[in-house]
Amino acid sequence: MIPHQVPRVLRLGPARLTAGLDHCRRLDLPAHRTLHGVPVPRDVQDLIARVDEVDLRGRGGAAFPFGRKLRAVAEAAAARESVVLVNGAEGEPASSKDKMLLVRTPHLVLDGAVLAAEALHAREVVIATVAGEVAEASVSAAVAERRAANVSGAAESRIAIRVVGLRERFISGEGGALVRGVNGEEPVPPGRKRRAAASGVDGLPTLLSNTETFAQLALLAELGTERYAEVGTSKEPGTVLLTVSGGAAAGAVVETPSGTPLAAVLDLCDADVGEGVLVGGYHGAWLTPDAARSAVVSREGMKQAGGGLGAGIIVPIGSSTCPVGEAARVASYLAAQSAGQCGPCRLGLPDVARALCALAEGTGSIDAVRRCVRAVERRGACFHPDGTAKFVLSALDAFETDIALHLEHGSCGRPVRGVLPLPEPDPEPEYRLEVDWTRCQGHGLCAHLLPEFVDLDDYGFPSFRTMPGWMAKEARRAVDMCPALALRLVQTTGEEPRPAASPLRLVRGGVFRRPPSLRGLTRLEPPASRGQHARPAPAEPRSSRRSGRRDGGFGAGGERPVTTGPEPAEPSPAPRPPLHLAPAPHLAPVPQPAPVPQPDPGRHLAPAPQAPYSPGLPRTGHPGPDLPPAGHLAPGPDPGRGSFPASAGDAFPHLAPASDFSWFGGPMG
Amino acid sequence: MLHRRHPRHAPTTLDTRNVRLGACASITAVLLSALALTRTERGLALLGRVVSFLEFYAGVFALVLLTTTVALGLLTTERAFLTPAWRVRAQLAHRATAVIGMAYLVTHILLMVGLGHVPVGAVIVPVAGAYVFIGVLGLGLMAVALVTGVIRGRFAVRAKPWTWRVLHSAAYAAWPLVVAHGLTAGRPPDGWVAWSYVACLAAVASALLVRVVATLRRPSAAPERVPAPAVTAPAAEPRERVGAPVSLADARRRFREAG
Repeated sequence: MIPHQVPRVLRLGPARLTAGLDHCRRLDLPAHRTLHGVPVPRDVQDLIARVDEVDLRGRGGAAFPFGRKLRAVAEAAAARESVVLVNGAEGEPASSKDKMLLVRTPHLVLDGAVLAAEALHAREVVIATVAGEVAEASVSAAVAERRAANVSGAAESRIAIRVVGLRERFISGEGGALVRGVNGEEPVPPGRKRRAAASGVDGLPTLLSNTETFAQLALLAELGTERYAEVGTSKEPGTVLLTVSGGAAAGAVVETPSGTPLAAVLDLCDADVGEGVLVGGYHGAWLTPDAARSAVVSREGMKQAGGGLGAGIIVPIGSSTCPVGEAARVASYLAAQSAGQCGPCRLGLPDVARALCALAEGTGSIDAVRRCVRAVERRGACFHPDGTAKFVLSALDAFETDIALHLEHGSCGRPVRGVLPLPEPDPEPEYRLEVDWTRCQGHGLCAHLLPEFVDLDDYGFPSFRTMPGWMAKEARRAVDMCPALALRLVQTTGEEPRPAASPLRLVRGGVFRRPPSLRGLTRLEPPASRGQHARPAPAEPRSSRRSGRRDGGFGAGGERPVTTGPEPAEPSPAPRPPLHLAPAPHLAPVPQPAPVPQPDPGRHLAPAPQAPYSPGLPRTGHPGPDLPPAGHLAPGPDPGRGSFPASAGDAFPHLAPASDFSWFGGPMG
Repeated sequence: MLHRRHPRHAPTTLDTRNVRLGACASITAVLLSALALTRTERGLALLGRVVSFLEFYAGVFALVLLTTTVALGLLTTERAFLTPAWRVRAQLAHRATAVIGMAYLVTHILLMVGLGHVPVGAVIVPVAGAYVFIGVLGLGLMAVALVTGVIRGRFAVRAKPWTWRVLHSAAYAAWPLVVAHGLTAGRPPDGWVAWSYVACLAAVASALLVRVVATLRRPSAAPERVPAPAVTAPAAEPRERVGAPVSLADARRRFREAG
């Protein structure tokens, strides 16, 4: 599988996670093996020792020590099975490092996860990604490549790998929400915290960490601690993935050793700092331009500058947009992303957003915003209200002069350009009453029933306005009561709002079919039959239980259980015709187009052209990950646009070099 | 500001959440107390008295409520009698009386069959006499009216409106049958009861007659003719153009005259 357009990658310093990505869009299995070698299975104690030595932290934002997590899971899993869960559904609109890893080097992530899983003797590896996006297709294809390699005799790990597509929400990246989503429940944070290390996927001890963490783990195992710690600061060795977007002219995922000045990263991306830099995402904090100039990319350095590294999100706001308006946009987005479970968050965050919007219009006051913020802080099941409060408060501090301008003149004179990236909002359901004019007699009952939405003209005939979704019931009553039977209700935009959980759907979803106490038992079936079971078959019960039924509205890719796993080690794959083989050149001479499991063929993927495939440059050029050194602090070349290497062009003749940069827009070849 | 928490669009207080909750609660309370009454001797006796009361009066209540329903339905269709606000209220009351009346009707039938006044087959075939069968016919037609009333909104989308009107008009046929059944099948009614039913019949029949005649004789809804300015002076005759020949013969003549 070769994605058509991929996140851009830039680099300062040596290439580690982004090695080999200068010349091709996605490293497939042979290319990855050439570049990174074959991972050696390791003992869990050995792994923990290595991780502790370099103090590897979770890269999803919380920076939890990965060694402690590993140890906790290893202890909890002493008597039971365990699961390794890769969090690839980060939910942050401004972050794309996880998507980049899953799209462009999925095997690095898989290597790390499989390494941990083999050390823990885990039951399976679960990759949770956003359903229906390129990342899901890429990981599924990577899993299929591994299975195909195994079929033809390679010695890939035979641990089961399952790819779960979740609906993307801001809060779905929270650990508890992710575990619930993978378990087939509503992906919202649980009210009572349970460590995933104690009870996660299917109630088993679960090693849950971010995509980049597992990629770093694979690198650590490959390089050894000394070579791993060659770059970076002594406290935080290694490299960091940053996502630079917003006011940066060249938005990209940047790999940089920790300890790099933030200014260098911003210069690399041609960033216009403007009024400030948001670090750490939408739950992060704003740095003033002065602080940003002197900040250093590391957890410690960011803390000293007044922010936090978080998930490595760097958003310079630029000087052409109104910063207060941008902050208000993000605040209202965050308010809408509340799961609605906790009262202070559900009711308080819209008030915060409203107060900030009023400030942007010049009517509110800073005190009002602070009062609203105080009502939500530390009052929720997850970090969402706190993070939003942090964002808003730091915006108040960082944009003090702009806010003063707004309060004085009503505006700072700049338009709101939408620099801070936000996902497309779901269209609100809207209704319109339509009238059959030949039937309407001008009785006027509709105007009496819906005074805000129906106007009567001088003759007593109605004209209608569009109605919000929550008026649908009243509108239906007006349709019912029209004496001339002339009205009908039409939905103009959006989806029909569905109840969160209806009894009917629960029953159909099989919630009552299998009591949770039996879950562990059914897992203990023989491995061969499990392998049969988990093959992607749409009508098969296990996948239908897990698939995104409660989010059935978003395309075909609810979830696709794909396993490399327990295939019987027989050399001839003859009895299984529907095997999804990716075109692995060293396996089969057939120039087959990639019939990989694709999450949404209609929208994202075009059928692959029948081009003979040959992995081009990554084989010939780079024996090791550190090979394209390009000097310290020198930007690596960029395959996304500009110079597209000739050899890569030869390798993928059907792909024109992507001239414009868009994150996940186009079809894949 | 329009907000779902502060709706201005609550034109009636009849069909609100509180009223519905209250109705459900009272029905539940009645059923539960009936259940509780069966636990004691005196309660059973009391329940027996209630049953015998219903045996006598459930049919009467059904008849009165269905009469009200028909009258309200007729009232709410015509804009001549009520303002839109009252028409909405009348429509809600029409539905409420219809549902309660049908509930009494079902109670009546269950009691009549259960207490052995009529055999079970009488609900379908005329084995218990013509007067009972009239009531059965009325029941069927009333059921048609009830069902069409419940699914009224669907007719607005698909079928032609007259389909619904014809089907729902089954009530007009059902109601006299039911009245006749009520006056004849059971105990002989008092004189004033009979006369008030006759008055009801006459009132509804005349209102219906007015409605039908008005519908039939309604002038076609042509647009009003707007008096345009009248023509005061006729257009001037087009004057002949001086030199222009009008016909070929004329041209030849002129040519000859010119030499």
